[in-house]
Amino acid sequence: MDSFPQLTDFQDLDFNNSSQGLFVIRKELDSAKSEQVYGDRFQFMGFLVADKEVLIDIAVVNEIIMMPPITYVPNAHNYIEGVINLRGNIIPVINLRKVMDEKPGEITHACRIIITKFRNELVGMIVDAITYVFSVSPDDIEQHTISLKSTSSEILTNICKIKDRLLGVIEIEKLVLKIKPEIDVVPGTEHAA
Amino acid sequence: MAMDVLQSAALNSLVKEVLPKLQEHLAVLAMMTSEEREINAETSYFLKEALQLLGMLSQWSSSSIEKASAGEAKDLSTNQDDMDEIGDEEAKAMLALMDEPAASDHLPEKEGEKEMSDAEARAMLGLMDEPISAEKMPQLESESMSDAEAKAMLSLMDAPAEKPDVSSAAANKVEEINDDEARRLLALMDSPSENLPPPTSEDKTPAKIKAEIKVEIKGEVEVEGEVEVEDVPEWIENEFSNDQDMIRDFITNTDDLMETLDRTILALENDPSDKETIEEIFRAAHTLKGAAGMFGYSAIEAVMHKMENLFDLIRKGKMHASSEIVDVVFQGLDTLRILLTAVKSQTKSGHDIKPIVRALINVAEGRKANLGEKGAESKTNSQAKVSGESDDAALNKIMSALSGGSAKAPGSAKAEGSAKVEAVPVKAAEIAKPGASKPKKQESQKDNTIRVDLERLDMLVSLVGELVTDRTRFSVVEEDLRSHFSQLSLTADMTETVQLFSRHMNEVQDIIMKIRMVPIGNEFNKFPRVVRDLSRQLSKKIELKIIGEDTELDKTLVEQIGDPLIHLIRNACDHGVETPEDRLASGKSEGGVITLAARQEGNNIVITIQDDGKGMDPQKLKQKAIEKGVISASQNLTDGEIFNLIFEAGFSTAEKITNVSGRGVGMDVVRKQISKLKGTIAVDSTLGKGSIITISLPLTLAIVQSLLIKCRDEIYAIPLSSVVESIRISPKDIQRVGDMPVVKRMGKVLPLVDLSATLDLSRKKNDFWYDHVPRGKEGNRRRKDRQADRVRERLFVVVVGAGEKRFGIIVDSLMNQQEMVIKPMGSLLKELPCVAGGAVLGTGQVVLVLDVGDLESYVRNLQRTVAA
Repeated sequence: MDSFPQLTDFQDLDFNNSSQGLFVIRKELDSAKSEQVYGDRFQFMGFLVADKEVLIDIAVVNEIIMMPPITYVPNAHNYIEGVINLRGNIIPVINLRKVMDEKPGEITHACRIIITKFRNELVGMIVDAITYVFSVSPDDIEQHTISLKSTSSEILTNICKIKDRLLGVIEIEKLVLKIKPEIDVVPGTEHAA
Repeated sequence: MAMDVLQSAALNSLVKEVLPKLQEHLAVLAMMTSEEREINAETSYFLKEALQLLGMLSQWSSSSIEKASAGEAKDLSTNQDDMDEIGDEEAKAMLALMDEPAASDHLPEKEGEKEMSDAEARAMLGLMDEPISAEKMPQLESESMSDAEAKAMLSLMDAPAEKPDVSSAAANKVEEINDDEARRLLALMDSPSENLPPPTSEDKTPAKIKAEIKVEIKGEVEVEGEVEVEDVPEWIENEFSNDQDMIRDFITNTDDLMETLDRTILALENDPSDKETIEEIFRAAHTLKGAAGMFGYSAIEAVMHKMENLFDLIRKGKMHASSEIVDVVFQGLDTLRILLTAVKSQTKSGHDIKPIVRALINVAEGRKANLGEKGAESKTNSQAKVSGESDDAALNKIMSALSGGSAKAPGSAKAEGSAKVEAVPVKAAEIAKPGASKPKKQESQKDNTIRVDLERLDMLVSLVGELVTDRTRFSVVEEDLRSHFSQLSLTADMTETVQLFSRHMNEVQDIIMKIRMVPIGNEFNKFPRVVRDLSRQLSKKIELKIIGEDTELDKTLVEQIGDPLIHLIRNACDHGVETPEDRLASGKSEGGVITLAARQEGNNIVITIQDDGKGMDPQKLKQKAIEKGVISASQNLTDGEIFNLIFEAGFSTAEKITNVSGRGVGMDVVRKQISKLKGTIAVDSTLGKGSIITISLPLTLAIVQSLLIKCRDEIYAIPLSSVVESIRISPKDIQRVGDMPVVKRMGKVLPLVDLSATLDLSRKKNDFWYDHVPRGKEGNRRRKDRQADRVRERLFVVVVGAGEKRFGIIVDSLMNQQEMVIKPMGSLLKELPCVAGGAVLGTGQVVLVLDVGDLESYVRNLQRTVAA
């Protein structure tokens, strides 16, 4: 991983420059397929929401797509930006900027939608850019104890130490349950409480 | 199920050549004294041959065994007389051999996997003899055994269940003594001879006998273990029960058969003398029983068997199909349904079939059904005469005894089989023989139809749905091409191709939709039974008239309309039709009539349920509604509106709650179910004359014709099935009643819904951050916006609803009609107000489909606030 450019200041990064941006990451993603190389290390994909870098377990990432047109869904939860057409299937996409209490941003060429799988259903997340795939040893992962901004702290469960930085890992399950808490309720038990 | 040539040849040579020879040799050996005895090469050859063939037998599919073994066993039993005494015994043993693999399906399964060792062959032989009581064995052999051995054996006999594992050790012991196979086999052949003095007992090696006996015990333990778990085990695993395709066939077939039974039994009750009906019932029952037996569903088979006996008695005129008998039969069918549902879900239901079996036996013997637990206990026990056995085993025996005794149908060849007190499945094997019923059944199904798995069909339908989307996409591309490169000949080609493609696509779609259509009669046929039961229960006289059962409807719709319809029919029986006395008093005929009718109206199916009962009193209803807080006293409602209050939650007018209806949840559940099917429901009534409930459903759910509309630049789709018309009104025509905008139209007040206000579309500006507008089309869009503004001087209103309930949706502009496939949007976006789902347009754009029912309740709430 040392051979990849170390990003410290994302503001300066030119996402349209292929040598710096996606191609680097694709390569890394490809190499991540052979897990035996990494042994028992966990792999996370980093992405940007506004200028904050967040990680996601690559095991829950189905695919990453370019920004398609999004259809607005009235009266949906505030976090849900709308629905998109993914090869004939309609799936909801979540606006992570809203989740993380960030300000609205423009659609740039680096914007992507990470398609994740939640209980056999696909859910998309709008992110401002994809950074890297990190391989992290279990020692560098800690249960999340630090209280960040209120909303984000609920959905970031673990903290990973990568080089000298600490990055939060987003938990898709927590995020979905935050939007729709009743999904978690096992049918028939809802009146028990 | 055709028998493998190899296997049939093997069986043939085994039965016709090897075994008789072997028998001869063994007989000779048996005659000799122990000193003379010596095994010659020929004997051991035949022995080997027999073992080999047995090995092949063990690898058989159970079906061929069932068929062949039953047949061969029959042959054998007819030949039996010709044989000498020992031969007789052997024949018996062989008969047992033939029966046994079919009876205990676990046997071939277990042994088919390995190559058959001698020990296994012996085990199999031991199993064959199992029906003959093992207790006799020690007496037979004890003379020749050392005392110690005999003791050991006796102790084994006493505690067979505890020590099944000893047998393996014993079997090993036997392996060591290889030279004496003939004698061992001889011992096996002889062991069943309960009545005869043991001719060859002197010189049997005790160890071998022991081993054999143990093997026998082992076999018995296995069988009993299975029986003990459930009475008649609900099903026994066999090769067929693992074959999903076969099971699916079985399920579809049984569904049909059950329907036939339901229908024909009702017909029988009305006309008990109709020979054809009873024949049809008998055939259906027989086929069902055979099929269930083949799959090892012994519980179904057991119940079915009792019913078949009953039908047989009726068929032969020995019994009259009275209402009571029909009641019991219907209860039997209900039990079967429970069992069949269990089969469908592949989990055992654990349903106790004993009461119904008892009731069926009782009825068959001309006594009261007595469905209670005690029932036939005394009689059955005396018949069983098997002391110290568990209930279930006793029941098995009773059933098999009865099958031999009370029902003479299965034929004389089986008398011996059932007298032997075997487990139930044996009969399955016998009956599974291609009886008279199967060919007949095929004859009656001569019309050119094939059965298709619904899953495959659904896949096809959804693919066609995708193609429909593709077709619209093609049209878009073609249009683009035409407007930009109209001079190219390629464009002309494209246009032509697309047109052709569209036409073909339309045809494909038509056909595919027709494939999914089934006559609604399939569902309607359930209702005569419901009405019959209810009228008996309520002591009313009710006749159900069915009209238009040929009307075709999408398969899934037909399935899902059943429950609401049953509810409505129950309601009509309970609340609608009066008691005979009341009817006579009000000058009507004694019997009430409920008419269930279906017809097609354009793209909708209209189902009506009409009764000629007492009707509903609008004043009383209104009173109730006010009491229950459904409406407020000041509200001024028309009679039609009052009647439709019965669909509100928590509304029930029944004075007392019967178990038929009156819990006040029914009607609103019915409405929910109907609106889930994108249908509407309305009721009308005339006091003293009866009520009529009208349900309107779209023809199909898979592909929906929709009207695309625009509202604040967002495109929405309204299912065309709920669109009545679209009109243009001037804003100044809109009047306000309280907060609710209305417009007068054709003398009626039409409530209006402003879609952008209802959906809160003004929030979009703040909520929607990633509005993706391709830069090139920006200008284009602006122009259209201006157009929309101009058009706003005259508003577009889409009038939706059905029957009395109509309202208008104010939209910005109308686009076009399109066929689309409504898709779910995932659990995150479930239960969104006013949105039924999403659909993908030809351009790849996702549009939301509006839920007209939801909008309607929105309007109703608005009306209520207006009235309050």
